[in-house]
Amino acid sequence: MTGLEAMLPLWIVLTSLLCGVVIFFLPEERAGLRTAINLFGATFKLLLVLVMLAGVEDGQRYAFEVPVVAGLVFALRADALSMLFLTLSAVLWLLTTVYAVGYLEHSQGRSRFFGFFSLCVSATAGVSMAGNLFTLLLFYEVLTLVTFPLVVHRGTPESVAAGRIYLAYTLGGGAAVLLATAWLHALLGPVDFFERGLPALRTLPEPVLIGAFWLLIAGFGVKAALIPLHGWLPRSMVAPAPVSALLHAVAVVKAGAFAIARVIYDLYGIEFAEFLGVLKPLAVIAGMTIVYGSARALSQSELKPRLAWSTVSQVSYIALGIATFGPVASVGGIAHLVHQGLMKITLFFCVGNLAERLGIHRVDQLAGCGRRMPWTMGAFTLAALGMIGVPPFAGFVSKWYLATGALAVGEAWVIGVILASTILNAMYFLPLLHAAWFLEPPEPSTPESAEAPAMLLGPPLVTAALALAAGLFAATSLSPLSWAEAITAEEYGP
Amino acid sequence: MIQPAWATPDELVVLALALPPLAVVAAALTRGRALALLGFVAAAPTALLGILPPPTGTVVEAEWLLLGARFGIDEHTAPFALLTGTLWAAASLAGAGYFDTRASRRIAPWWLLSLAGSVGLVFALDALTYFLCFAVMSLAAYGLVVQRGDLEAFRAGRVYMVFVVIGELALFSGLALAVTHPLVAATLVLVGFGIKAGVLGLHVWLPLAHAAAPAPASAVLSGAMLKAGLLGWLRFVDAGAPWTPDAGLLLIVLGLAGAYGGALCGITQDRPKTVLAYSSISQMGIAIAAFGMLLTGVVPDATAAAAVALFAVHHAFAKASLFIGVGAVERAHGKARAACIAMMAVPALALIGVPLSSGALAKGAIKAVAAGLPEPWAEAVGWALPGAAIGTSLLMLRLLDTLPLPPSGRCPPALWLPAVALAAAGVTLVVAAPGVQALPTLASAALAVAPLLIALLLRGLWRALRRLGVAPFVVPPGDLVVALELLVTVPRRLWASGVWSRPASVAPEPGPCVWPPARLERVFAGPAAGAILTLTLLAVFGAALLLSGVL
Repeated sequence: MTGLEAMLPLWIVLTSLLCGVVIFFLPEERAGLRTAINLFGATFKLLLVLVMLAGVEDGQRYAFEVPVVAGLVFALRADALSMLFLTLSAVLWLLTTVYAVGYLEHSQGRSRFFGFFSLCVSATAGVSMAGNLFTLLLFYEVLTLVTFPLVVHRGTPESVAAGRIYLAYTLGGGAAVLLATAWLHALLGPVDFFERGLPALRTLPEPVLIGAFWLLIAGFGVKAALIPLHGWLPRSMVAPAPVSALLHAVAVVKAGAFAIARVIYDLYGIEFAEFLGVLKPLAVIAGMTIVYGSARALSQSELKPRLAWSTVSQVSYIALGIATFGPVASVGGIAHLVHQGLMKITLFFCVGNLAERLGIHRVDQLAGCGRRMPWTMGAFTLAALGMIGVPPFAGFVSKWYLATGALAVGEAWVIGVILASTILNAMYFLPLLHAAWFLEPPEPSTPESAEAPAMLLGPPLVTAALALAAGLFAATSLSPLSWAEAITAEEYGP
Repeated sequence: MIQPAWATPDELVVLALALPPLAVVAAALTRGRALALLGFVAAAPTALLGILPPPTGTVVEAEWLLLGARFGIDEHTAPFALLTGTLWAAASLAGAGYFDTRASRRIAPWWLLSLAGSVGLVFALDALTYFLCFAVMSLAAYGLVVQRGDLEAFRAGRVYMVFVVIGELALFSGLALAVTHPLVAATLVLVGFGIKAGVLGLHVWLPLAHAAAPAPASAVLSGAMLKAGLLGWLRFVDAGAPWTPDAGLLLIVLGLAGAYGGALCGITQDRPKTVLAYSSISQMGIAIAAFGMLLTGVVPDATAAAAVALFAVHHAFAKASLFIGVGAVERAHGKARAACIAMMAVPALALIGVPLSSGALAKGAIKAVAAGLPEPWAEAVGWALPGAAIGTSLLMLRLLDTLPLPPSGRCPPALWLPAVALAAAGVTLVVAAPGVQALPTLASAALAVAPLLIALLLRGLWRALRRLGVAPFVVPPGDLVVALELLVTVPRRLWASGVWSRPASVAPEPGPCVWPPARLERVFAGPAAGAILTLTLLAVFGAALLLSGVL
């Protein structure tokens, strides 16, 4: 492996970073050039990720380390878990960029928007490949700062207020992570991520370990929207549709869930965490978040808040799977990292299309829109059924692994959580599908077809197809499920 | 088995499985044109596999599908392939005569998806794949139930969907719990498929859905989809577990109660398809009782399963023929109407079980199985079946009374021909069935016609009572569901009327059929909602954790 190739993790982070910086300096009216740079950057990054993916699959190790100050090392590494998240974010970045170009065609401040958009993806890549706690913290904080301008992009009082709440929550969470990182550094020196847990960590006294664990979970739990740290998420849906899509599917909430996985798997080690007794409470919190988020989603009469609350619920499936001490449930949780991303980004794309083309924002305006936007609503239907957990969609695979995995280790209450959430999912998604497909449009005079243009239609169709494929072909070796199985096999060991 | 020279059994199964999804794609690309053709072509190979079944043990592995799927032919496949394939093919053709172009194009995706699920489950040998096909069939059939698009259809659809979701959840958790909690799991599987089969108490969706759906859809709902519940039981309920004899006796009781209850509710109905739906509950009751006999473990498994399957095929042909027939009569006028009704007499008599009909054959098989039961069960079933035949006779007479009398109309052959074909298929069943029926003696024939005569007497009595102004009883369509709906709507109305709270006057009522209703929305969306919800969740979780003994 040449030096250049070994430094692939760095190139991947830099691709979108440079892309973002260049775009900042582009004048607003150079739309064509900006789009070209965006698409080139996203495609190039996807290629790099695929190259690295092939390498990791062959057993190659990519690492980039550079000391910052004494005792602090900036480390990027690629392992199976990173690659899962990284590939997801690279694929979805490309699609969201296409969508965003179409969506924001005539709006203001596009250079700022796309600049921060690229930085946000860069930070996500950093989070996924962070090789130690310090690097993770660094990118986690950067992610907070670069997503704030996206949340307040519209500049309305409502979005500024939402942005402020977002900042308060996430900076608070960042502070908790900072505290824990400093604490562990003071006691241990460098805190690297290590497969099945950092051995040196186990020498620390138990109260310290438990305290640091909950500090980290509190910090990362903000972005993962675990209750009671979820308050920012439903409010920040005031952002433009592509931002909501990316925020809910990959960038922010997933960074939180992913970081929790890192802490449990590669810092503490799943078996040691179980020994400390911290997994069960986390699983219970996740379980409560699942039911709570679904119940609140039911009461939302606007589409985007309904989807936002649904995110609160769905992301906690990941935490629930990771915090259940058993390989099968963990597979379900990790696979859901990808599954939820594909399904939720589809839903947000489609809701964006509805708002753009038909001005639909509320649930009771959906009547007959399936006939007027059949492809958009077709993608929406696939994703919504997947969220409910109908086979053969991806959501079913996640729920099946979570349920059987939890039962296998004697956690029968988990199936209660899944059933309750599934009923609520059905209650807040099925009526939308009914209204879209079976009710007559309110005014027959409106044009019969209002299908979105290709730029807005292509991305949701691709993601919906991927969500269907992830479930339908779950047993094949290329599926997110098989990948999650490989990761879990490493983390649980023989 | 006659082995065609040009294809192996595996290839035939793959063909039967692959055509329906391809038809869905074709319908999407052509925007729903040529529904009848697509449906017929998609279902025909399955029917052929039912008529000329390849040897059992034919297995097609699809490791790539979902979590690894196994399709193939087992001992239950042939009869269910026969009824599923034939019914969908016939009903698709009937659709060509029943639907106008617009309705046909709208219903096409749901029709073909539901067909795909229905065909798939016939060949699905492992539980997860069966569950997958069952879900596709049930969910897509929502589009068939609400096709008419009026409030009645939407109400039927809502009730249907609630029961589909409950059934899906029961099956999901039943499959998940199978290893750790076998008894709970088996109960859930019995319930999950029981909803579809129309077990008494779980049947309430059935009268509404059948009445609301267009006639060809009612035919497949009643003929093919209800049978998917039976097939699920046959395949996935372990008949050897220690608790099954008790479950078997319970199912015999529930099944016979359904046979009578369905008839009692059905005779007060005013619409032909509701009458037929209650007849389906009644007939499925007999099939359920027969499956109960299988579970008791005292009769030979294979014989009992064969009796269930034979009854399923007989009922599918007869009932589908009647449903499509009702659709034909709705359009027919004058002589054509009379001809339709005369044709419908054949499946109606078969359901009653007159000698030399498919019904007599199927009931004979069940009686033979019941004779193996210990007393008093054998005798009880022996008396119950002719009694149920009186109920069926009453239902068929009621059907005759309720048939519409259109002032004019034109009934296209595409509509009545499939009904005739299905009736003929029922007749063929008698000839082709293994173990040809001996010609009945005069005495036994007289005995077998007795229920019909008794029913005629009872009907006369009933009419006389009504003429005297005494209405014996009336059951609203959907029976128990009306009570369930009151349970939901009465508190809601009380709430709205200000008995429990200040009157709701702020938000206008949302459009029809949008969930959640405004009231519920307000309950959840209030400022205290988060706190209340959290406390409730804490309590529930605490209780759950304590109960599972982990705290």
